[in-house]
Amino acid sequence: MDETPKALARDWHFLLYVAGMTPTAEAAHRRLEALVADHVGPDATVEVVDLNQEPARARLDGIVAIPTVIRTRPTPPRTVIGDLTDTAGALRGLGIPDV
Amino acid sequence: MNDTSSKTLTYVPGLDHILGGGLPTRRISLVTGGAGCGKSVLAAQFLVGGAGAGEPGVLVTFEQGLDELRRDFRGFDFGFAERVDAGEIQVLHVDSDTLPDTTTGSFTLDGLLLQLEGAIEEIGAKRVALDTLESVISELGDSANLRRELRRLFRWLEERGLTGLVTAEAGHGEAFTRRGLEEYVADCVILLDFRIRNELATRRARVLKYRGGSHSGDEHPFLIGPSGIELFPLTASRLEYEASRERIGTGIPSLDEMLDGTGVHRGSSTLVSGSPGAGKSSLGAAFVDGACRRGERALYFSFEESPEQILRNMEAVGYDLRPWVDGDLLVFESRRPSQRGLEGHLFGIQRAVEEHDPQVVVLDPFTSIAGPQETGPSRSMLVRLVDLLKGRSITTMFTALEAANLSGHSASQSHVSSLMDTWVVLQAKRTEGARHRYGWILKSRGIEHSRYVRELTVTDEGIEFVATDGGRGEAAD
Repeated sequence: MDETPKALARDWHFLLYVAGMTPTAEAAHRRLEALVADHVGPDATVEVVDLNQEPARARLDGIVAIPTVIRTRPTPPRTVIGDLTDTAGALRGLGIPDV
Repeated sequence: MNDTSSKTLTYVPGLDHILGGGLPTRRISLVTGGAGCGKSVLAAQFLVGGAGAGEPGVLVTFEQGLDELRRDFRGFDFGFAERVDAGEIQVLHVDSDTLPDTTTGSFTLDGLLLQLEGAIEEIGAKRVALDTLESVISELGDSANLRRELRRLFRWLEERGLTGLVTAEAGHGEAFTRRGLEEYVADCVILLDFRIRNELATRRARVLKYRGGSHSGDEHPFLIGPSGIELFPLTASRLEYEASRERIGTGIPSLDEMLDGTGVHRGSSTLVSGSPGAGKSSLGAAFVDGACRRGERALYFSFEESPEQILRNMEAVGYDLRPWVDGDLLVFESRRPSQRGLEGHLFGIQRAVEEHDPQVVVLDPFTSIAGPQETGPSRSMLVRLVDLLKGRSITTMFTALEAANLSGHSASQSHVSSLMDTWVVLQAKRTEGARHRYGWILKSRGIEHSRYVRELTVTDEGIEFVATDGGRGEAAD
């Protein structure tokens, strides 16, 4: 496969929604960074949204569960919830090829 | 004794009565029922009622967005959209389409809590309704994690001082809800039930549970009319014969014969449609005459003729109703169609029914007050009327003026006939200079009825449906 996702890594963008940087939130953030680095590439970006700092975004972005991860790019967006301990589920849910 | 200080009025007519004063304050109650039972309407009324009493509310909806809700509730006159526009009701639409279907580990519902917190603070909400929980569960997947979070959500709302209700699908058997959600809302559970029983469509409300409060555990009929849900709290004794499979005669032996030999179900509604002079009022007269002969009380609403006119006309066709009137078994209520609006008629009918407490009612002709409209007030009024009468186990005959045509029915009556259990069609025809009247049964729910046309004879001994063509008659369709 020539067209690996790694070649397009800079086009991948993830939002991680948390409510306060709790130990659970920190752990989910570490897991997401590792998962993205391993399966997408170093150029993909991860942005953390702390809803305790920006509470209005919960409604604007339609966030129900914490943690929530949204793959905003490439489109269409993909969403998973939970602390990302299930790596295979996260890859599948976020549409990342397991290579 | 009721401690009304710890109860919050729902403002749903009749419901607060069976709740012994309202829902438990600062608690989340559960409303359970099947699809189409009226759960969402009840939730909306609870919030609208609160808004009118200075208690704003938040509606969390998982299925319908604000535009859809506006459309759905436009048919009701309780003013949902106006309360939303006035900022007294906030609609929080959690679009289940955007909820993820993948769960990668443990989670909280803090996102929803933050959304709720924002909405509650924005309007100073005192009430909250969540409709329905099933949708969020089916999206996020049923798990111990989700249930723990739902429990936390309810306790959080209660701690913030909100009184609320959640709606959920009804369960079978011992379980109040399909997913056993009653475990999380332990204080008050209301069941809304919509079912067909003995061929009659009935709506019932029941308080299944009310911790620490007095309530009526009986089933109470309700209807969904233009003003939303309206309960008719009844005593237990009244409901007992409601569910009976009893059949009663129509007052015309040959018509009973066409109805499986025994007549119609008690508490059912019969439509008699036909052209002018086809014999509709005569059927009505026979119907009340039969009832009075059984010693039952009857109420005859006449929208075109005066009681004196009807008594005279009916005497000529063999029904002497005067003794029943003199003996107070039969009461005539004569009302002019133009006298009052449709609503006024309904209330007038309700009041007369309550006063006279009849077992049998005739509305003749119903079409002169309801009009031929397909939708709108006449249909909803008819729904309320039918529910009111069925709720009291009253057997009713509605006559309807219908231009004669061969099929005997037209689209203009489809909205009426769908609510009727039995439909008798009458027709007057001129053949070879002589006038003939015919009648047949178009439908009768749960009754093996005749499908043949019979000739209607009216003599001074009453009406008969005479079988033509060697006793069988011609097939009606």
